[in-house]
Amino acid sequence: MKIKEVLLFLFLLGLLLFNWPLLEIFRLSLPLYLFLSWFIFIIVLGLVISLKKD
Amino acid sequence: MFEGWLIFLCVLGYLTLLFLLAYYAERRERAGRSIVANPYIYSLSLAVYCTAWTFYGSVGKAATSGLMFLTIYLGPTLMAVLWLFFMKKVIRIAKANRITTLSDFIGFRYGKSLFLSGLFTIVAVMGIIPYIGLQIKAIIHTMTIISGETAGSAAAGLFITAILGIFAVIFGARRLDASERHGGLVFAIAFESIIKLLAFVLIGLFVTYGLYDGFSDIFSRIRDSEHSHLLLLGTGPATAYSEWFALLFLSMIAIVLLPRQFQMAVVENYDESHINKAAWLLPLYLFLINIFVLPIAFGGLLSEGSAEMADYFVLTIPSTYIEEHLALIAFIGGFSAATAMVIVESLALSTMVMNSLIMPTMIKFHELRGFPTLVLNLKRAIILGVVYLGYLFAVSIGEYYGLVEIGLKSFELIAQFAPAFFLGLYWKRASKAGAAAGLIAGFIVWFYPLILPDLLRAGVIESSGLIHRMVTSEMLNPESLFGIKGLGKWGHSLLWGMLVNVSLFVGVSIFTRQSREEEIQALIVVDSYQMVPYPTRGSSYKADDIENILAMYLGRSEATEAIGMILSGKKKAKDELNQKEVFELRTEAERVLAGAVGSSIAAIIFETKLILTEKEREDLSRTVKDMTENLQLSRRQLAEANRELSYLKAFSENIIESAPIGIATVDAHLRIKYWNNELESITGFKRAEAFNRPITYLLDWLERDVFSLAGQREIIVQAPAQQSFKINISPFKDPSGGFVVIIENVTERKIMAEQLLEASKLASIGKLTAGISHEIGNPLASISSLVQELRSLKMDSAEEIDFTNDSLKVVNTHIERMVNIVRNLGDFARTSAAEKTASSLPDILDRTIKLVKYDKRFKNIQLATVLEADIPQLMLNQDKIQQVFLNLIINALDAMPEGGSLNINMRSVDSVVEISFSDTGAGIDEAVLDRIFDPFFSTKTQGKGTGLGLSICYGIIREHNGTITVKSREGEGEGTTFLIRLPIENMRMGVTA
Repeated sequence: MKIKEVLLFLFLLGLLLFNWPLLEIFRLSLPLYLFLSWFIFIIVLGLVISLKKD
Repeated sequence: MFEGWLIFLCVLGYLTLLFLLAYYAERRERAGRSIVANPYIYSLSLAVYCTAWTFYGSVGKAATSGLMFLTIYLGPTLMAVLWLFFMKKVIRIAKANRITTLSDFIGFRYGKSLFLSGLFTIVAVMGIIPYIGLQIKAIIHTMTIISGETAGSAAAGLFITAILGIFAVIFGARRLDASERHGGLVFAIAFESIIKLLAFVLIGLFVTYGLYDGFSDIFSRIRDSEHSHLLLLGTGPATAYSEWFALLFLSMIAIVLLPRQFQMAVVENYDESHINKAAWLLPLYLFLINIFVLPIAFGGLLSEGSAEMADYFVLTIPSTYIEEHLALIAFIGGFSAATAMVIVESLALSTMVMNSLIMPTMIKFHELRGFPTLVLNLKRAIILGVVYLGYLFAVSIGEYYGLVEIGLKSFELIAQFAPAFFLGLYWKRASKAGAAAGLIAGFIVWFYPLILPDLLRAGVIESSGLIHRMVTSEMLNPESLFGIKGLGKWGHSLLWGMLVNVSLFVGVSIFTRQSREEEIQALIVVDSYQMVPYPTRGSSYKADDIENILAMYLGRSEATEAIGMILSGKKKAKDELNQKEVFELRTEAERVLAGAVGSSIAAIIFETKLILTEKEREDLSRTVKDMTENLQLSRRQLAEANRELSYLKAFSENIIESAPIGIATVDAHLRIKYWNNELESITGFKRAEAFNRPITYLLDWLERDVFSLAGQREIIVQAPAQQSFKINISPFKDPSGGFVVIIENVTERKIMAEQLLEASKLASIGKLTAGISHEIGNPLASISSLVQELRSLKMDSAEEIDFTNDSLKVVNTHIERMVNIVRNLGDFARTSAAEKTASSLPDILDRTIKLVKYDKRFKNIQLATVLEADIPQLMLNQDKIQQVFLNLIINALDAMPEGGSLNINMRSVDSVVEISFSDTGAGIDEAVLDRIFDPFFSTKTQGKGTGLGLSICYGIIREHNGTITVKSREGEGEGTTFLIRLPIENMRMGVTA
């Protein structure tokens, strides 16, 4: 699996995480959901870029 | 509250510190010990994205629209994931062509178009000036708040604007070569990013833990207050999900296409690999600076009760709680965010204006005395002009808008660059006309719903006549174009703007023809194609001419320095350059000039100054055309070849898999990499079991040594289960090593060959028996008559006793002769051994002659054997070789029924032993000579030959890796010669190389 494929997957995952309907699903604790998923997303992105260089 | 002079002192002190840091960074860079060229400073410099809007406006937005402010930072996080796809390409193209602004990049992509570059510059100026105004407005407001005044001072605003302008000039326009990276500026901006982050976090900690009991306290209080809706999305038009998506999309584009982001990410980039770290460090920075936005906004709402001054909660909260030092820190943080933006944005905009709008008109005055100084001063004036335009906006129109409102309008306009930029990177057909049409239409659609209503409300445009009818109509209402409602203000204008822009861009590109220059530039950008400098023959210009042209626009010292740097790279002096190198120098010099005046102008300058001869121009044009066509052709051929390759691959695999022979490939360590179906049935090992295991482990009867011999080889091995395999081993030509191993089960073939040999022997014995019957019959007759005579004797006389003794001696002699004949026949007739042993060819020949010499036909033959001494022993199957010799001798006897001579010669030549059998028989018709070794072909009359003798000889000699050939001419006495050649070296090994 090439890094560009993984990044494309991450991008699509990000679009899903930070948009309707997930935002509607987590509406009762939206600030926590947004900041937590944002932080995890950044960590995963950092790990993918650092560990998988091709 | 602080006195005005103290605030100015702080501002000046802070800016002086920035300048000193920048100066230090530049000194380090000049000394070759850069502190800027690393991914961390690069990532921090990209945080110039966070301006006064982030520092103040986000809190204001959070206090009015809740979580919506997050879209401005989540968008760049998503776009950072895609950076690795396109940003490295953009950086590479910009560096290679000394592109220094976004509009220059667009112009370069679309045929070095000055028009397009100018158009993008005008739109950028219109979009960014209000954004700069936003920063100045924030500075003026915060200075008013912190000094305790009720209204901002115009003089103070002017003064601060002047200081910012001067600093922008110092950082960015000290010399003309704009493509030179501004290491000092980058370091100062990175420092400012740290300051604004620390200041914001400090205020956030104060509000969260100083005024309240942490996040949960603030959030539970706000949940119980009238502002609880701020914790939700989708509660009204301002927090609709469509609006959320629109802002997310806008910010994704802004992080790439805002002129200051292009400046920092592309122009100031030292190493494209820094993108890797920045792709997650910048999002992390954005995350950190946003952690306390909600607590500060909610804290402000809870303490002050209304969102009226929410844009400045960061400053007003510490002031309210008489935390003056904290308020000063907040002011410095906000000032830091605003100054970073103003400095970088004014620098980027001024370069765009200079390269795309001013230089094209100024170029005709280049012969004026002091032209380079004029250009430099003009650039400085433009920087100051840009900053002052921002100031004018701030103190006039800007007063009526919030920070976020101004920022988002800028974002919307900049988003209109996206189709031309992104599609231009990957779509070769994208044309200049399409980009211009898309941008102009996008601008109109941006203006109509976002700007026109404000101008009407402000009374700048009177709502009457056609305009009134348009804005009040059902279809053209600016807030619900074509009757579509519910998308939100930003989503609505974004949807229509993008729809019209992209449609026109694609449509016009498809239906218009690109110029030759556009085609070339499309190739360079889309395919990252590098133009190879074309070596002209007999060019009319020299290195000095090139330097003189540079001097006209950059100044003499700058030009000499630039040419010196290029020449030092080539390690040559000006007068040592050949024609090709002069042309390369011209290309490099054009890039240097492009850094100062833009790539389009630089191309024009060199085009007009260094006029090529007609022939050179034709050659150059033809070369470019050929290169373009060749490239297109190569691509088509490559695609076709790829298709064929796929077909051939499938075809080859099909053949290999259905072949009745085992095929395997092994790597240099003899580990199996391929294992076909037949090998599965031969060995019983499945492909998955065999993969990566040593072939000598799976085929334990295969010696490892056979792989160590050089070249292709073929061996026959006897497997334990009474099976015989013929194995061909060929090394790969690939330097990494490995072999192709072909394994064929020859067990049945071998059994048949042995049976054939036995049959052939029996046939030979049959022939010999007829020939040698008299050899046994005559002695037997003699013995019989002697026995008859002896029976009649009485044995009473000495004579009879002597006769009897003599007769018995004769009988004994006859019997010994017959025993020899029978023993020779018996030896020949016994079952053949399969092994090859070290054997002497002369001995085998001798045994064969002994066997055949009793044949009565041999009596009329004169046999002459010439055997060279020291014939080496060879690894032979003696029985088979004897069969060959016997067949050839019998054939010779058959060819000479009336007698003749048979010459047998044996000699060693180089690495082979040659054995020839020459008779003086009737010879063979030349027409059938090449069929003589075919099975069942015979020249003898029917019933006298099977046609297998010579075929068997051929097979036996091939099995010994030798050759057998024949020479003959038909006619009495012409004779036939068979020549056998057996190799010496490899016969000893039993292996062929």
